[in-house]
Amino acid sequence: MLRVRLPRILAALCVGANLAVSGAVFQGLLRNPLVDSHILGISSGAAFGAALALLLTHSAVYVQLFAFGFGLLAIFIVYAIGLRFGSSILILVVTGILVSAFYNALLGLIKYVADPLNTLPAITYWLLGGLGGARWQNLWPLLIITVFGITFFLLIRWRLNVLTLSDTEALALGINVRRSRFAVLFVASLLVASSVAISGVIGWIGLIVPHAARAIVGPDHARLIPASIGIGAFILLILDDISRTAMATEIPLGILAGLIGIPVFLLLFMRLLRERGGWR
Amino acid sequence: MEMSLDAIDLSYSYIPGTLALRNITLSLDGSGVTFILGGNGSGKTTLLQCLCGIRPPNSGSVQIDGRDLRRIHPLQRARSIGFVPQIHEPVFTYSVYQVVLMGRAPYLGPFSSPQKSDHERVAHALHALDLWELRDRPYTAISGGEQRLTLIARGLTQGAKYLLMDEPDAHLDPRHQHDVFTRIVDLAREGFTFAISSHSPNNALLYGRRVVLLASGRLIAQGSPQEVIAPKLLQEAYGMEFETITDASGLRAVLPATGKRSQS
Repeated sequence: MLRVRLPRILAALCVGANLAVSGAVFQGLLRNPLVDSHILGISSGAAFGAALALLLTHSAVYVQLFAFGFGLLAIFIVYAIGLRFGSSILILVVTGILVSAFYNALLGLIKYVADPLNTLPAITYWLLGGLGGARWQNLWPLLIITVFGITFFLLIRWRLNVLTLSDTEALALGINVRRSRFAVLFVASLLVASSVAISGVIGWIGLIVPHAARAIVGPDHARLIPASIGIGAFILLILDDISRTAMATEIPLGILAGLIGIPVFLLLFMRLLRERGGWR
Repeated sequence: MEMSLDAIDLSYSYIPGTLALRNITLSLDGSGVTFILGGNGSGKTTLLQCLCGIRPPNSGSVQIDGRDLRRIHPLQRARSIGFVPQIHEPVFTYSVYQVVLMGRAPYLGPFSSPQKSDHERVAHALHALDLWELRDRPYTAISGGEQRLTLIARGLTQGAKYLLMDEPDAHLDPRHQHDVFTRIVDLAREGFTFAISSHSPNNALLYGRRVVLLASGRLIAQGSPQEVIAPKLLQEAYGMEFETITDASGLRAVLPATGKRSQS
């Protein structure tokens, strides 16, 4: 129980919290409510890294390491280009999309050359997302990074409001926009990379949980950040329980998240729109 | 020493070789409301952004109480100079209170949250501008005039003595323009110094104490509204003819000279 179940529970809580909080942060700092945790190419990088490791070896350690490493490499490329040209939001997002697309092409190449009987199913299965591989021995990097990142965002949560202002306004308030944006996006990226490395790509949580949290507590990051963390952790724990128990074999978390999560949130969203008479 | 915010021989260029501002020298010295007039692209917004320190000049300097702005820490600077942009477009629907509270950012470290004293400053500013009743309304759901006042309240919360406003009369109907400018004039009497860019010479006549006139990045005139808002100078700035309307108290308004145009 303690050896198998507890690490998995912790992993679910961490991954859910990380994806949700980083989604909230990306939406705020990139001034775009439609972006999610995967926007800057981190997840595509991690997916490519994992696929590469599965192609070369079958060691779970290397899969996690490569996923984390290539996820971070994506954000470093985005930053290197962004910083060179003034790190405006548009440059960061465009570079992120390009890096993401390039990684996807590389991933396609790996799938194409992978052994279709053995390696290809492993890659595909990994990409669908799941926490079946969470053990004490591979969980500690995620735990350490999560504790660090969540603490960071809980402390900086009010300042995030100011960072959602336009560059001109934030500068006029004396804030070093470039440095703050860099630091905050980097920590958010660490959270995403460490999560994706252990869970595979789980979509929508980073997009919808922040919106749900905003609907409940409002847009003030002082309350939005704790709410996103709580809701994200709780929802992923529930989804993982369903994924383990609903059928005789495990349902991949990425699929389940989409199948259950999206209709549920669509209902909530429509109810919210009805109550408020539109989106304000 | 006299408090003042000065531009000294200030030049600024966005693209190397093309000056957006050339050799501007002017002084905001507790002189109430100074209007900055000039056509589109004449450098009004750039001048305001240089004056508040977010655009370091290519040559010349901006000095506050005799100290070069570049030598002052941005947080320190933000406690003296507030900038009110023409458009404040929040991505998320922050309340009026939250928007004003952001004015405390120059006093709080990145890892701190606002304390009781910060909230007291916000309450004070909101009461000063009669916005207290609106404090929980979303910023996006209040009128354009109330939005300008909210941003002025943010400037007050910032502790700024100098408030630089980019076209606060844009997109406002006459009543809201009058409301906003009446507030500004009141605050100027209390000791705040305003620099306001505008496309309306008549607002400068009504509410300004001094007027600065820009044309293609040059300062072509500065002085009292009665001096600067003259057909000849305005023609130089806007490239069209104006006629004046005067009464016993002097110049009341300027209008485009339509009669002359129809003759030609």
